[in-house]
Amino acid sequence: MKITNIAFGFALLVSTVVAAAPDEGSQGFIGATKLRPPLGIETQYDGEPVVGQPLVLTLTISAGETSAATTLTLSARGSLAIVEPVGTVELGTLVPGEPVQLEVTVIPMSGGTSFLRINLSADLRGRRQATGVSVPIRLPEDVLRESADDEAGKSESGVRSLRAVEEIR
Amino acid sequence: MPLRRTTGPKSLLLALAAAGLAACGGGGGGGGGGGGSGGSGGSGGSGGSGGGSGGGDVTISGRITYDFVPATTAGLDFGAVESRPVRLAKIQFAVSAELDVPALDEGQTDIDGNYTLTVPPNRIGFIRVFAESSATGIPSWHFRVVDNTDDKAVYALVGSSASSGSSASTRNLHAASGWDELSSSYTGERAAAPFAILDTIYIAAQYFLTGNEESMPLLDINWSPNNIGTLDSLGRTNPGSGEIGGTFYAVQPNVDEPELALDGIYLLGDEDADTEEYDRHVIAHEFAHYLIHRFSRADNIGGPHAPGDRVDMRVAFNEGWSTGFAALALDDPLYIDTGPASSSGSFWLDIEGPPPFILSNPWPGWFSEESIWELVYDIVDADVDGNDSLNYSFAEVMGVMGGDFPESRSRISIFTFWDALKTAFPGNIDQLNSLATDQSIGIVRDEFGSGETNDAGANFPADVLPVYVDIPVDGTPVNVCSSDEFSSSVSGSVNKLASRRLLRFTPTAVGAVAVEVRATEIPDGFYADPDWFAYNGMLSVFSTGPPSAACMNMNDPGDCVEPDPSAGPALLPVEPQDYILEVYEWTNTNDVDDPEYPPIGRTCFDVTVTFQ
Repeated sequence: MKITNIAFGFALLVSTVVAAAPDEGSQGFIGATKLRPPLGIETQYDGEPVVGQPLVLTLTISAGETSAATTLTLSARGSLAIVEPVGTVELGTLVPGEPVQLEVTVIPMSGGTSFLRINLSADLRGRRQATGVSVPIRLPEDVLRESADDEAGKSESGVRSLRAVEEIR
Repeated sequence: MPLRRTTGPKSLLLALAAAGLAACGGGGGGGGGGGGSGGSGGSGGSGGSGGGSGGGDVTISGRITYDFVPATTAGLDFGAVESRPVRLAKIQFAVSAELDVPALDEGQTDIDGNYTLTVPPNRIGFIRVFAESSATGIPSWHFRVVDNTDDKAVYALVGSSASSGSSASTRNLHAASGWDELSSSYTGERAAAPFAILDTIYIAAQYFLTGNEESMPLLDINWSPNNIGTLDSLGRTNPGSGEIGGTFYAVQPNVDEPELALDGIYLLGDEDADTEEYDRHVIAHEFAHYLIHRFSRADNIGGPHAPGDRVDMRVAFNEGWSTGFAALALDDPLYIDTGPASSSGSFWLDIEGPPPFILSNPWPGWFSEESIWELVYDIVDADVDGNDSLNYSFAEVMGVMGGDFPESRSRISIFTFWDALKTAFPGNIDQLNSLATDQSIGIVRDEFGSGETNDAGANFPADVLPVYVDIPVDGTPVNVCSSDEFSSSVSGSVNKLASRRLLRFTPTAVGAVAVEVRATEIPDGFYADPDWFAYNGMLSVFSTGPPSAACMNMNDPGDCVEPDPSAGPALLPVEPQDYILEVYEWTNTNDVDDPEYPPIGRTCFDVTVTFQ
């Protein structure tokens, strides 16, 4: 790149790079995310989770297209107890622009990070579709996911070894 | 109304938005068989990275396989697991877990997963197979599946240490899924995952390379069981922690926080919510973004998107093209994205269009990624149905996407692509017109979508059409609006149709133009923050500072100008060719649930371009 013009205090940087010969270090590609189902789940809770104390999460479920026979199922991973609702919740038909909200009460049972798993199923354009999200419940001292912090599980040599099932003859 | 954003320089900057090929020779690997398109070479090996093979050397051969778990509309089918070969992967007879200790021999598996290595006799060592494939020469590639939560360590399948013995021996290694049918959960290491990912990349790459003799630069595919669909506690995409927020392809250096830099494909691995290792269409879709980035041009502005959305046409094209590519490369029009590993459901759709009993795309058009993926699929697939009689090779498609295509003056959209196709294949104009019409896209006259009549059902059609608003360079104001009309409660508003308005100006001489965007109509109770980009083909100049004091005092909208006139005019050097201006109200490009600055709604501006 070179500076070709300075106009009234604005720096105009003009690249001479031509098509198909980019400067590798000077360009980016904005994140292109995968296609998501036209069903959205947002979660929100106030305050900090405390071991042994109920935590109320507000789930907002929305549809980008009319979604019939919508069901929501909760489960937990890690030290998390789901107080309510238990089992599958029938949400019926969701229409765009009319999200529904659901309160979920959980209790963190120990320190670290646990996860509330939310699975959503619905009939969209005549097909049964499913999607899910897991919501990390972090205790205040825990910033990053526990397993990612587990140095013992990390490599020391730039290789992440996975054990093979091996047959030697 | 809270104070608006105040960070960021109020400046006019130019950024490189180019995309294209960056050649990168194959690395790693070395060794025998398999290089080249189709990779039909024999068993790899004996390309060695050290070790001193002597006269009494022995061979160790075998086969490397992994658990392939079919993704179905009813979720992952662990009852139908297949053992598939690990193809064209780097393999070693290693004597140490440390990579800097030379292996006694190194090579590559062949397309059936077979390998042969030659090593000194009676040496203790183990077989190590990397989730890494490379080829040198033309074509060439280098793909690695790495653990982004472990400093990008490359995944490798390792066998047990044993003596090489005094005669030929066999060591077969298998990467298991780690799934336990009894508990319906992963109880073992998910060793198969990186190799399943690598295999899909291999398939997609071979599809691309058929007829395209290219050098493919290094691509890292970042996967970890820790990769979850939420952001970190600071709201960031944090590859180190695995809080990546979703599956995506991105190349975004980060000088200030290098640990947050992004480079490659990032895949979810969260068994509780969404795993991607067996979602072949998802992986191939992201690989297509890499292809467009490296071998064509992407003007995608990113952001979430869902079926039925009416999105910015750049998003529609890039995402739709990538989904179409995935179906073509995998020879399977059924796009399946499984969710939690134990789920009995998936998110799925038929790329080639819905069968009669299924409702169709509610909003076909140039702004619909569903329309784009069907068009891309139809021009290549061999099926003849309706107006779908075209059957281009993928090399022909990439031929259109390469060449002069990246230098297009328009923003890359279906219009750019279709216009290039019609130029390349003038004998197919009628078929191309018919296919576009089937998707409610008018006859494409040029890369700018001139004459397009599909307004997406907008409340204010003038907010959508024409696709590019012509603006003279004599200072005559042209009024355009930025809208949040197409926001989605599921996928937000950041990339939706009509939030950004495109204008085209064409100077007649070399010189400079001054660009000014002045608010004229603002929703009651709000103030505007006009921003704009100017595109010179692949290059962009932007003026995107926070709103000036004049904007924020909410007296006369006309006082609100971008850039702030007190800093002098924004001058762009120009030549006699087409330039594109992109004008928008900043909040209308934010999430609908942005806690501070959600979209304020339809906001209009007088835009002037004045040749100096």
